[in-house]
Amino acid sequence: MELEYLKEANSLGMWLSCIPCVLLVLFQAWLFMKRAWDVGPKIGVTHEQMKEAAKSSLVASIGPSIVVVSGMVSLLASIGGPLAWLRLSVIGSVMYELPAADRAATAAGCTLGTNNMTMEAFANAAWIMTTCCLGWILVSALFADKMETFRDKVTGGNMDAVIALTAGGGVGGFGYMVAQRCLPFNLQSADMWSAVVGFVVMWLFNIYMKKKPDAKWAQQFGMTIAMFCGMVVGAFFLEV
Amino acid sequence: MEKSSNVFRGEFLPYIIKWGRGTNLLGVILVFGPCIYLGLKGIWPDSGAFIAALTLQLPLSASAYIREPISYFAMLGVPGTYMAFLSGNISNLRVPCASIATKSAGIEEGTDQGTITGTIGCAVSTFVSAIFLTVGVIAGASVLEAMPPIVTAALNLLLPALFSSLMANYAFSKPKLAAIVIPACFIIYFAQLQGVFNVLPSIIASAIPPLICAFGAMGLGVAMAKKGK
Repeated sequence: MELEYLKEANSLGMWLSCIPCVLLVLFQAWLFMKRAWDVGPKIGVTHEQMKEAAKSSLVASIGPSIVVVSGMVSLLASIGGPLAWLRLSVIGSVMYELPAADRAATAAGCTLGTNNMTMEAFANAAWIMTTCCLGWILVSALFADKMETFRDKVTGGNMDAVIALTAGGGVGGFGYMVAQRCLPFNLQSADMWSAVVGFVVMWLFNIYMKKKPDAKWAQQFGMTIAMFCGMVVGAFFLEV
Repeated sequence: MEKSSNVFRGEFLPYIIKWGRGTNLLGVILVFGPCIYLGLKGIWPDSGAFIAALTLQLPLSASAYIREPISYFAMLGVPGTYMAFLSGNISNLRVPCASIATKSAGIEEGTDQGTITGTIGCAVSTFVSAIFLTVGVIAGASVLEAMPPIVTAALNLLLPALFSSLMANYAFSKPKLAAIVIPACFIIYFAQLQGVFNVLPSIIASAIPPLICAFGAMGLGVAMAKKGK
């Protein structure tokens, strides 16, 4: 039987209250994409390059999007469809939202996903998840343009330095996340094998693409193939 | 070259900043939609419970408000930063897709042209994830729960492979930098596991190691580039 608070959580009103913000996210993406599409050719980016970019992103988005949806299951059962949909579409991630909702319910003396959840505890979860996500949106809204100025100052407009700054951010940022998946060292770790195989396959793709710069399929599907190879090898080490 | 820079800085960026700031600030209001709806129905959280939960949750999120935008900015650029921090799923979708889009177009990341392709990549990934989430939420928990546990567990393994393949891309473009930075990241995370950073106040203890990795690598990258390496 559906829990009492989930009836309200899945009501039409809740859906209607969530739709505007999700539409805003899509509107912004459409607006920026359209502008990039118009300006691109004026600064030397061809329509072919932009189409290539869109196609590659489309392919690469599918795998991680399925992961996000599979993580949504636990949220759906705890806070209902509309709020789960909103929270994962607007500055959310499952790793952050579920513990936040759980803490909010606990602070209200209830347990998420059980029949002792009151409407007030559900409202608390909604308010906490919303309030705590504001920081990200506000910082980006107010400071994104300043970061560009800061970057120009650091690199002094030297193009090699700009490229190195981005590559450095990538190696350092993702290097730390890979270390998180690989340590403490354990030869039976599924995460570690997935990371190792993903790295090796992508490295091989890079060698191949350097030799054959026209290999469009490798540019488009390389990372998706590397991701799935990592997943398949890692799955052999899963304990079920 | 000069002309293209003028178009990018004089035309594209001001438009993005104007609309990016406006839409994100509007997002701050609209995200309260469900809270307001519940309030209109007379359902409000207990103030004590709200403050108690906020005290627990806010310190956990607060350091990420600063750390994440500055860590990912170099990869996302101005438009990507507005989009990523409104739509979320930053490290697992927005940054990878901006990066892949630019690379597949044969353009260097961080350049003005790379910002254009990164914007397209980031926007496309926003559409794709929104479609998946909408289908997922309509299909409902029953369909999703029917997936065997091994499938869900295996799907989660896509992420470590995604992170490491992105790392491989950046490392391939700057191998000398990567040869120093990747081992350093492992050492820093190992030190974190050993509790070395616990001497710091708890609110920043977990934020400092990833910041050292990202900023240290950016600084080193710029220094090496300026020396022509």
